Amino acid sequence: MFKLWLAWRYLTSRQNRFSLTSSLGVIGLSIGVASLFVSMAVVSGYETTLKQNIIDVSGHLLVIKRRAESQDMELIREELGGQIKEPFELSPYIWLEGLIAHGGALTGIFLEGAVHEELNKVLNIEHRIVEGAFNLETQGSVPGAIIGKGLAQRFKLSVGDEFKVVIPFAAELQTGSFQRKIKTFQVTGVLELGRHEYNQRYIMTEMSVAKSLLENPERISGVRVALQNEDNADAYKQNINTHLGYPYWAKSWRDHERNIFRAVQLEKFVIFLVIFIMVIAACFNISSTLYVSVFRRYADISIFKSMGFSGRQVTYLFSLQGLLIGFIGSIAGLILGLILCSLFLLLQTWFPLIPSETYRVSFISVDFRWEDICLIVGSSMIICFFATLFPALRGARLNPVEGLRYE
Amino acid sequence: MNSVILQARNITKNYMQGSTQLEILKGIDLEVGEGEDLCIVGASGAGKSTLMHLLGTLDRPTSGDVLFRGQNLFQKNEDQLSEFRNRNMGFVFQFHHLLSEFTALENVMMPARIGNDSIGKAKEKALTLLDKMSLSHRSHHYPSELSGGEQQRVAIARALMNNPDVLFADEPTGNLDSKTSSMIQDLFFQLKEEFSLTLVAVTHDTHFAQSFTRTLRMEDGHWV
Repeated sequence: MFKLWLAWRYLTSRQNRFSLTSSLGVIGLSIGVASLFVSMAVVSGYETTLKQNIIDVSGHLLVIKRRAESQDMELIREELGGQIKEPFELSPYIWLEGLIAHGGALTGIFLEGAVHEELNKVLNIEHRIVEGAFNLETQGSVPGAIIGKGLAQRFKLSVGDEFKVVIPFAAELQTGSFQRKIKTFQVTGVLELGRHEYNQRYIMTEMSVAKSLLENPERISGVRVALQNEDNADAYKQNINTHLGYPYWAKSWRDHERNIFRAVQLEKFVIFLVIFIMVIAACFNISSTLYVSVFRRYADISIFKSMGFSGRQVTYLFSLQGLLIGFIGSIAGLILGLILCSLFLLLQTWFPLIPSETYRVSFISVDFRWEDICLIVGSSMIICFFATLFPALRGARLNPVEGLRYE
Repeated sequence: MNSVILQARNITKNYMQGSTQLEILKGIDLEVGEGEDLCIVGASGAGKSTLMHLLGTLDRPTSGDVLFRGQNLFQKNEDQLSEFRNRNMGFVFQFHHLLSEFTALENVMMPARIGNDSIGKAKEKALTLLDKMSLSHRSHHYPSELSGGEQQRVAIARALMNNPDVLFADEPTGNLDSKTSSMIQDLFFQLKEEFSLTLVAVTHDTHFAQSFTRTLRMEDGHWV
């Protein structure tokens, strides 16, 4: 504690109150740390946003069961329960692919049929409504549908507008031919689904309505599963695919964008390494400041030695000064990083900075992870320590007699 | 003479200046008794300060030994030697050499804090010493705010902080006016009695030198 006090006093004494060179050292390090902090927070934020968007809309696990029917739900629950070793919730769904026809235009869509009450147990989709209400009820004779934001913009659909959906299916007896079912829907709500592809193609309606578009009205596509811990999704997926096997087939939330998640991990590592070079340069700036400090304090070092300081204690004193500068620079860098992150969030609300076609998401949150912060501060401090060790060792080797000879 | 506290045996000290080797001390022998007051005089460059630094373990001799109560000091490693210096030696220099970024009180407390004494204990002792030096009203002043005489009295208080056995003084009055110089000289002898010190001083000041019981003259690296 005594040496820490000494080091602090040297850095903050009235005659040395953060001289210009020390301040430049701290500023350089702060900028480096802030850059690291912001890039890690944005990359982690992108990962979290993508993950949350997938989980909100698709659940933790998607389990498809071939030829499943509505009455199989208890059996499905029981069979999945043998593989998923934690409490979980299920919601059946029907997944259809078809076309939307409106205003003379056509495009491919996904139509999902869901049971509203059960849906809320597995998805967190209701807060994503940007227009209208989350209402799947049939309005008069026309069933209600909630559609993606991109789809609404493309077909100029608003709440109350009607549109047609065409679902093709293979004709049983005539191979090479197909039949179709057409249904009119009324828009009850518009969703921001967070992912470009979903916003452009997604339509959700009540389960019973979706069933009416099937050949076999009792069939369901599978179930969406919510777990207590989403990180276990891959393990349970593996269990289901290995131990249950056909007719079951499971997909975890990560599988929806597995390549992107892998790419993000790699990018995060590379960005850290590249920006860390900036921190290393800043630490050497501090090192040169300390070299100057060591020679300016030659007389003080000699006095300390005459009072019983060993060379090791001198090294410790100057290293502590370097570490204090490193610590102050890191904390200032984190604060600067926080400000820059807030600006980034604010700018995103003002301008469309993120093209969703490229990045799959239209808004990137920032994610401050303890492990990232510890890594940034820890590695900066370690580099700072090594950068200051050499001037500190130089100070320890100074001959006290030389320092005491003159005023 | 009382029992020997400090003994130098055939000490030499050489320095390299470019490619030339300078012999500063040429085989010095010395014995200093417990409680003795010894003054070393000589012309500039005679080697008296170098000898004092070696006796005070601030530097190592080229050859020869320094013994403290019979114990060979340069057989200790650097950490042991530093601890020994902290506990047993006090230094007062010509240019006072106070730490300019610390107050008078903090300067005086420093040896005790280096020796791991608590803040409370060190502060109490330091305040007593400053009071003895008639400087209690200046304890929170920085060295730059003190006069030459006051700075030197703070330096003396600091040297006495850990109750050293030997007090080394290197031209302690060389930088002071005659009145202040005389006051500081008296203070040394008063403190020597009060703290039962062994006093080893180096000076040019013949008046000061005459006050010592024993005076040795050095010339060109040996006694004369």
